[in-house]
Amino acid sequence: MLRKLVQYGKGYLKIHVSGYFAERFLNGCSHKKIRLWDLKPVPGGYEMCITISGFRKLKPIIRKTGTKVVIVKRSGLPFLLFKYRKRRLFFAGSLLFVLLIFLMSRHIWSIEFSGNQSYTDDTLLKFLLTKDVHAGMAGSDVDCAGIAADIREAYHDIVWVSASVDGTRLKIRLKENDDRLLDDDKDKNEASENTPAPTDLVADMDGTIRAITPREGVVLVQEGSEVKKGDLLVSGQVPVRNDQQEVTGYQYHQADAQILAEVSTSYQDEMDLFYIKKDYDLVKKREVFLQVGPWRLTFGSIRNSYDYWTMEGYEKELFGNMHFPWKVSYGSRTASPYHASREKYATERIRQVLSTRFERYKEDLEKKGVEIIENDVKIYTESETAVADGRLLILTPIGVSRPSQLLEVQTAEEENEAGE
Amino acid sequence: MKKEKNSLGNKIAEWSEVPKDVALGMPILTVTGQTELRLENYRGIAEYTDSCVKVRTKVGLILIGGRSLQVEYYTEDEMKVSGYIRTVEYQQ
Repeated sequence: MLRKLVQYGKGYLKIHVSGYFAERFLNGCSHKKIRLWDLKPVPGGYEMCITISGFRKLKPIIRKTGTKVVIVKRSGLPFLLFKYRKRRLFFAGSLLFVLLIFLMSRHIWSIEFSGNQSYTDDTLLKFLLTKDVHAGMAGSDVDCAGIAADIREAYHDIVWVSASVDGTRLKIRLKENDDRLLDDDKDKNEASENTPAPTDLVADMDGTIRAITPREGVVLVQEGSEVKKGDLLVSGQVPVRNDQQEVTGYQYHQADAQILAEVSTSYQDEMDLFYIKKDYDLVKKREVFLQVGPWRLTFGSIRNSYDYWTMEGYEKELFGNMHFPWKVSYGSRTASPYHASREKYATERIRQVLSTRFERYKEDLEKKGVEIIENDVKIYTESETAVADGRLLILTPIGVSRPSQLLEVQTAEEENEAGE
Repeated sequence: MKKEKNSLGNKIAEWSEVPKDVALGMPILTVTGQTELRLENYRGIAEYTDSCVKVRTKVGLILIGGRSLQVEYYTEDEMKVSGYIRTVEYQQ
């Protein structure tokens, strides 16, 4: 392939050699290091291809062998250029083309991001624009290290940035901090350690306590005790007592404990007994379109007077990795008419749907560490809907953190006054 | 051939372990399947039709017989014959 391209670029001739010593002509060529190819025996001689420079060296061989050489065909770029030498605009256009390719390839035409999850490409592009980095800028002006540093400075949760130029594309790869939420929590905890504000653990639902694993703070409930929503479970204020067992102050903590409680909760799930059944017609309306920015060229139309119809389609972007002032895309849309009829679900189907949803609900609870002790959920069918209804007895972790209300320390004098 | 084998040059080439194509200018034929043949170390073409290519070498004539034979290229060092090769024959 490459050889053929080179041959075309340099130009070659197809010649016909005839005479009594045609073979001697071939050997003479090889002796003079003239390359011959596509050698074919034809009536009265041979046909072969030869380079232009080789052809110029043929004269002594022809004289020596007494053969006759006739040019059959001229091929290649030099002959093409010679043929069209008077078409000046064509040459000017070709030159301009080469020049434009050369000049354009020295610019950045596309900025590609990868690894961004919480920041969209648009957000990052807008940021880069403020730093004078945009599609169309000169490639030599791109400061990859500078771009990486700017992004890292502006977005603290982007932990790693790499910018590189690949042809006319600026590739920016980044890594966001996945542990941001955890870190935030840690920061909060660290902050609270510096300024210790006590927190309590408060019941977030009604129930009966079944197990307590205290970690920090004073547990105020016992196993078996019933609690209401809002009741204090663990206090973050640990009393400090003196030798007489009098409270002299409080140590402040972040109350923490795992408290499991038996909680009764209700479950209700409803679904319609009826659904719209779509019977599609065989007829469809389809349109193919080419979109350039705000302009759309369509072939066919999906305009219709159907009562009910659905539309589906796709759109694919063209030249996605090049920069254009407008997005160029193509696609198609299909409108399918249907007859709508109101149908009732079969009883078995209703049971199946509601059971599946309830199973999923149970799985979600189990994932949260909730154990289901009892359930009496039943399915009832009404005139329009079917309902899964009932109560569940679950063993669940309870308690949410709330800031403590600071307790006053009663001094001995106050106690005396109260006594008097 | 026998004479060739017993020649002094051949003996020296064997003794010195120099490849014979280098030492004695013997032809090298590389045949790929039945459709392609490369030939090195030859003197010249003696005859060429689409059913027969006769090549002169130092050890004599090599006759390539077949159908639709075509010399794809022909240089001082190497030539390539393509087509349907049926026979390769050595003639003194």
